[in-house]
Amino acid sequence: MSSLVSYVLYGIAALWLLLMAAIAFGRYRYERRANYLSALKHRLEQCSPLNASALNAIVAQLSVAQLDALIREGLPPALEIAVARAMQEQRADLVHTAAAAAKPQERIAAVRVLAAAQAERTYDLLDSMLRSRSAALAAASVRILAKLDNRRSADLLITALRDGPYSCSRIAAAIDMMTAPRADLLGLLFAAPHAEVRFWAARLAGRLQAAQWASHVRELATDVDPLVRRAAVEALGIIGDASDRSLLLGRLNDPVPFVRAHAARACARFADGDAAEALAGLLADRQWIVRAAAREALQRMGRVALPAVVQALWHSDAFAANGAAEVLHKTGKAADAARQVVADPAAARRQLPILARFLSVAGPHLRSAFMCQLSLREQHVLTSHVEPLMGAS
Amino acid sequence: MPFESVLQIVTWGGYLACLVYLTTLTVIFAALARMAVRENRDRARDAAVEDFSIVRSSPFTIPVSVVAPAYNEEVCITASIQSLLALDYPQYEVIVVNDGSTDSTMKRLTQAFDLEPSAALYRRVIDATEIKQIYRSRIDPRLTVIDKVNGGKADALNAGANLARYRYLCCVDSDTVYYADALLKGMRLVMPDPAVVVGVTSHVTLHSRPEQAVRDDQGRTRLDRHPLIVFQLLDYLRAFIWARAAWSRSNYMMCSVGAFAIWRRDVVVELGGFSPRFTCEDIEFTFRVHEHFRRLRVPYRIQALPDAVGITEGPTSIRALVSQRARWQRVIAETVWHYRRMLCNPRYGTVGFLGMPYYVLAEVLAPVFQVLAVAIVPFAAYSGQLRPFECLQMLLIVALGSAAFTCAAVLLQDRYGRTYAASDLAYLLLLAPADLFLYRPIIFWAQCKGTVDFLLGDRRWNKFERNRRRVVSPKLATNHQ
Repeated sequence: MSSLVSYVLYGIAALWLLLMAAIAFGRYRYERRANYLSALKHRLEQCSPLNASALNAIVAQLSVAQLDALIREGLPPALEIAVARAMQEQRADLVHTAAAAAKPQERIAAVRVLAAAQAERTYDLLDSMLRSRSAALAAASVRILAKLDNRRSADLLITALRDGPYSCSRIAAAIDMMTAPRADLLGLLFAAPHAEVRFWAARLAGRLQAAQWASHVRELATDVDPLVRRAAVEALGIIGDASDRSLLLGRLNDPVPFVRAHAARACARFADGDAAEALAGLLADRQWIVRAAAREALQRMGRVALPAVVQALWHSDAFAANGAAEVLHKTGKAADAARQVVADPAAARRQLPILARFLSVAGPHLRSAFMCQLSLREQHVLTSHVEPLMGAS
Repeated sequence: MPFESVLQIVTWGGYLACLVYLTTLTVIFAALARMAVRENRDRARDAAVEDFSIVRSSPFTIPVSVVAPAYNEEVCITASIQSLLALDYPQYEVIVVNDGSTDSTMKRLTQAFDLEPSAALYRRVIDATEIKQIYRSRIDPRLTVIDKVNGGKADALNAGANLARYRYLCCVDSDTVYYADALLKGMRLVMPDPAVVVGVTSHVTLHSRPEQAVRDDQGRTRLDRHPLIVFQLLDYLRAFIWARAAWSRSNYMMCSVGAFAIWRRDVVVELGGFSPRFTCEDIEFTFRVHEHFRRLRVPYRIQALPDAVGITEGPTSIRALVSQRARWQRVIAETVWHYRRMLCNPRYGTVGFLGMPYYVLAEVLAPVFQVLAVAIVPFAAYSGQLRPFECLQMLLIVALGSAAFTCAAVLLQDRYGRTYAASDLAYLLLLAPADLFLYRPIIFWAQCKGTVDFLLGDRRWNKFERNRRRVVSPKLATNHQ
């Protein structure tokens, strides 16, 4: 028994020491590699991109993974191309590694080097990575294509967005952050059978301000899928023109709340009395997100919306009246009116019933926030003028 | 039967029970190892190929509402909220809920962020106690502060959730200073499949004064070398790098961390918000999410991020540590007891057959076996069966076995995270074998106390007293960013 316990003790002690040694060795290797790469990077940066023999000598000491690490860390653009091309020349199997290596990390490193070398095969390899079943390969491909940032990479990303081999939102985000002209390539997305693709078509059209696709976006505003309608009305708020006003006002009655909410925000672009009245009507919507969007839109419209907002103070729905009061408060109109009353009560007689109604329908927090904007004297004068009217309002 | 024979049977029975228990736990930990290694490796690889620059700058990145409940956090509230406002994420809001603090938390917030009363209207979809006033910051429009009457952390989170505008809620603590990339790393796990990923959790590292923690030139946080902090840190590493990574891989992540948990807001609303009936909301809500989705047979995932996302204040006195750990033990017992119907129930899959039994065995029953192990010592001494040399050998086996598990967790962490400087790493490893003799007895006492508190129906939070500080200079408070 005693010897068994001793053996177990020795075994566990050996395991513990082994793990300690593994940690120490792992850290030593990591630090050594980091120092080695840092020294090589320093040597590369000292070297002119035109000095082929010196570059070749340094590149000969590098593995593909090490060069990939240096590229990810960042090299001057001219140097990056020169080094990557030197690696491409020295490693005849680089394309094969990029196409068929068993480990995803090896494929990614090889493709990144080929992309840096601007090799012709890069795009085919990136496309096959994007369409592979590996999320890691697809993510790396999207990242490299976005970095390449040219028409061809944009085309590949947009085609991939249509075909859906990888997360649409990630591909759309990559397309959005590119700077190469790409708005004209969006056409193939609008008629896609998948609603998610049409959604991203409309969103990207809005983001890229692709006015040439406005007619397609208009069609999507009546799509069967509510998410697509939501994206379309949002895009029309950016790329639409005066002819879209009636379409957007129509979407304010959409059965789906978030479509109504986005239509409300989009309508703010067409600041006129009719739009303001329609938005004021939405202040009584049964969904709070729609009421919030209507408030936001009316705030953005400014002076044009004022008559409709003031009228909404007398709305029979308490939410609508309170929402109108909040708009008046946030645009500063309520405080302006109060100061006019304080300065010259006789001249500002028309403002008094509005302020009385405002204070009647506003909730306690809104009233407190409104009063905080006024000095104590202003508060006192305003209260003395408005209080008699508040019961009547 | 003579008395000596009875003593011998009791001693050997107890000894055997403890041996079986310890062996079972060791086997479970060893079985988790493979999954933990694969999970840590995959997450590190995913992070390496991830393009954070796209996520960081994209308008399509999912926006998040960060909710930070605060109760008597005057010491570190400013640094914590500053770190939240400095998060590297394209679109988010920060909602601080002052849960009826009796110290100057509200005053500190008002001064630091120039708060003004606001008339924000919101939809009260979850029950929460009365809100006294809502404030907005004049300095940073993303910051909203709710001042409400005290109702507990769960209630404060519910109040914040009512005001939240975005689809994801990130529940955080206001005694924690967050790294700038915390939200980016957390949401990275959500983005590939927001329809399925309903929750993401992570963990935090410890420091006696998080607002003064400094990072070296390679971005590594320097270790606070207070022994109690280091032992807790080793405990965290074992739990998060080892066990929780493995749970996450098999989708039975049983406990989200209160200091950083991202939840899909519709799930929080659908489940009626965080429950104030339990002492802590985090573990109970995680159990509830599992129970809900598995009962309805709806696909879902709760994932754990192996990276630390911030630095929180750890207790530096034994009394404070016992208070904190006793609460944790009580919470675990409360939750496991409440959801006992899931235990070994086929409807709940891995949660019922792996997660729940683990909690029962490793957490709820731990004090029972620990008491037994201590109790048999006098029996063994009285009956002459206690042999000091063998006893020492057994203690060394347990100490080195525990140290080996700790080293394995540190190895994984260092392999994929490289969080600590070499000198800090050496310090961590040197203290690991002393864990059994210096740290475990405290935890043993805390677990026993927590179990007794649970049996007595205690529901108090028992917040530990904050570590003493000098006045925090704003420069130091922002140093970590």
